[in-house]
Amino acid sequence: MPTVYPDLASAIDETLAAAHEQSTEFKRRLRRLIENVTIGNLADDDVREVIELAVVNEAEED
Amino acid sequence: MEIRVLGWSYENIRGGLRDVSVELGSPLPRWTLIQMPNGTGKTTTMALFRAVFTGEALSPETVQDFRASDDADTGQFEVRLTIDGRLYRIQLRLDYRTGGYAYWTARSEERSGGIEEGLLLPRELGRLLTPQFARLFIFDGELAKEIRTVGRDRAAEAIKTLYRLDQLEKLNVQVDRLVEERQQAAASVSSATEMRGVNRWRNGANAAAARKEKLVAEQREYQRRQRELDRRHSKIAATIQEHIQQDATLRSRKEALDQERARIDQALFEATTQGLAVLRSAPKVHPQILARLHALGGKLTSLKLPKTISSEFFRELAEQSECVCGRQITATEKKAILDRANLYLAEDQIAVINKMKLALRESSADNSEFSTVADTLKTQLRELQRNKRDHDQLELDRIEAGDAELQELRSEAQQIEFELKEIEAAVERLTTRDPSRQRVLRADDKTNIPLCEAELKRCQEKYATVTKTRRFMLQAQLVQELVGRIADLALDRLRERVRTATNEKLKHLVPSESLQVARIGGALELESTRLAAKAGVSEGQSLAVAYAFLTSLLTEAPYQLPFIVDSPAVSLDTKVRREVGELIPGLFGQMIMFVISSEREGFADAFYDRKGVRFFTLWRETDEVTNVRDGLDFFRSFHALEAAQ
Repeated sequence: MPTVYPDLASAIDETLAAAHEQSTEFKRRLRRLIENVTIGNLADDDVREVIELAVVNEAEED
Repeated sequence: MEIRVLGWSYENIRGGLRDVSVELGSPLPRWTLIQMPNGTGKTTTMALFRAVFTGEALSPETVQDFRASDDADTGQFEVRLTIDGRLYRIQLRLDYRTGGYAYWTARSEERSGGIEEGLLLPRELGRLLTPQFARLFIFDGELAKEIRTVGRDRAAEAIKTLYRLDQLEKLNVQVDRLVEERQQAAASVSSATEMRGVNRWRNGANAAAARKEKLVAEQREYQRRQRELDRRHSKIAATIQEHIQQDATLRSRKEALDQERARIDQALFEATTQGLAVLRSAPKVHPQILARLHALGGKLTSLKLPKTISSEFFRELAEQSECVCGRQITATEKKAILDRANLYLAEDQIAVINKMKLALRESSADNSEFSTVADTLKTQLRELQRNKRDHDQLELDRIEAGDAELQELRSEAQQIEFELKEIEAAVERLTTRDPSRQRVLRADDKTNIPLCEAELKRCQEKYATVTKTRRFMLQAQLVQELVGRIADLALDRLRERVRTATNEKLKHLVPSESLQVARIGGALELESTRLAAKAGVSEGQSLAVAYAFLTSLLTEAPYQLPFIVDSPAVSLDTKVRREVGELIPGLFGQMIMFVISSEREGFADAFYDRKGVRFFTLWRETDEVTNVRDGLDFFRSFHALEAAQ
């Protein structure tokens, strides 16, 4: 499991903590995606799955 | 990821480097000092190191410039290194007859075993090691001069690259691509009626994207021209100063004006700082603002705002089986309650508003403070204008005395200033986000980048709606927004960490002047105790800033790179040299320093008693051949040999 340096880790923590509407699973997967991305792994399927887990405001979809 | 250099060798390379090999040995020394007199290939070695680390493209002229002599048809530079413990051998093979070149790599644990064509570093490393980035760890004094002036985005870009934040930008590009693919797939199965809408909005989005690209290219071209004109203007200004210096009377008038200018700058800096502090406290700005704040505080109190019921109450209620009115709460009611909970303030928001209410009621201020500061600022700005006019007069007096060249220079400078103003106006029209300025400048989505982006977004949303991919697009935008926010936040923190660490080191390196990095924007912005904004620093100070910045940048990064430096102390005075000599050894896992004999005093001698150091001397015995000698004794006594030749 890749780890990231403290400044990036705290930026992820703070940003995801403020994303109240998002599920724990989405946050976990986005964190892992960013960790993987910083070591150069960018698989389309992983990115697509994270996108599909995002909760969007219903009003925006009207 | 850790990279360590084990050794390198030259074949038929200029500087008499016909057959020279440097082996750092085992255990690998943490510090290596290579003494090479001028003319024996230090600069060439640095260029070759940069090439083998980055695989940069070389012109035929550059290749032929490496040639040892006319009788050499081919040449080679080889570096042996480890990357996370794995052995690599990288060769740059040079063909002097054709100006061609090729990189070759041998890797341990590779099935093929032998040497393969190409620079075959691990993928992650290949991405990092661009020619621009390599200049930060294969370092020469030139970068120290440039670090604050040229390539203004270098400091921030270096942080982004080294700490891999550029990868997050790539992630967002990938998200865009996935949305586009989804929309193309959806469009291909649309019915004939739907296809009209699909085509319309897809064409609209494509056209807006093309317009945006064109406008961004225009902006870049203006910026390029602006930099070119700025450089020429600075050059002219320097030449004009030389002309003024030629006349003793004008020179002394100028010195007096320069001193006055420094005083005005300092006064302006202090008044601006004070003014900004006053502006942060709105009641101090104007009595009317204070009166209105009091009125607002009173109104909030009389209306009993904010209402005490909070969104948390509804969130908790939604989890109950029954409402407070006794009705059962099913999934439908739960959803309705949760949706409407957002209409109420959260408890922390209520607490903030209550604090504001109290502060509004009780705010008081001396409202004359702002007008006093504003008066000081106006006076100093008038003084500044007068000082500029007097400077101008110096030039006019010199022209009147018959300096025709100065007249030409002034006229060219004025022309440049005019063109710069035009560029500034054009760039504003292209980039302003201020709606009132957009109206005044009659900007639209064909002439203004933010308006073009808004149009692009509108078309993309419509396109997403007709292809029934809107939900996916909104989800993608949300992911991009979060990723962007994470990258910005991490960059801010890294910049601050590097800035603080740089300033800590500068306290030791330049203690007399308390030179500090005020901000790492695109470039490094300096300030000192003597000047509000530090414009002129000596070469030694520039080098001290560069070392402090680079060591702060590189030491905590996820990549442990060797620090290879040419003439690390040549432009420093002995005192700063000793400070650098004491400071930098502790900061890198591996340092390879190319020095000349004059750098031994104060710098190299700081390493004589350290453990884990190797000393080499490369010198040319005849005009043709360079020798290499290992050992401290020879290194220390080399000056005598050099002098005796």
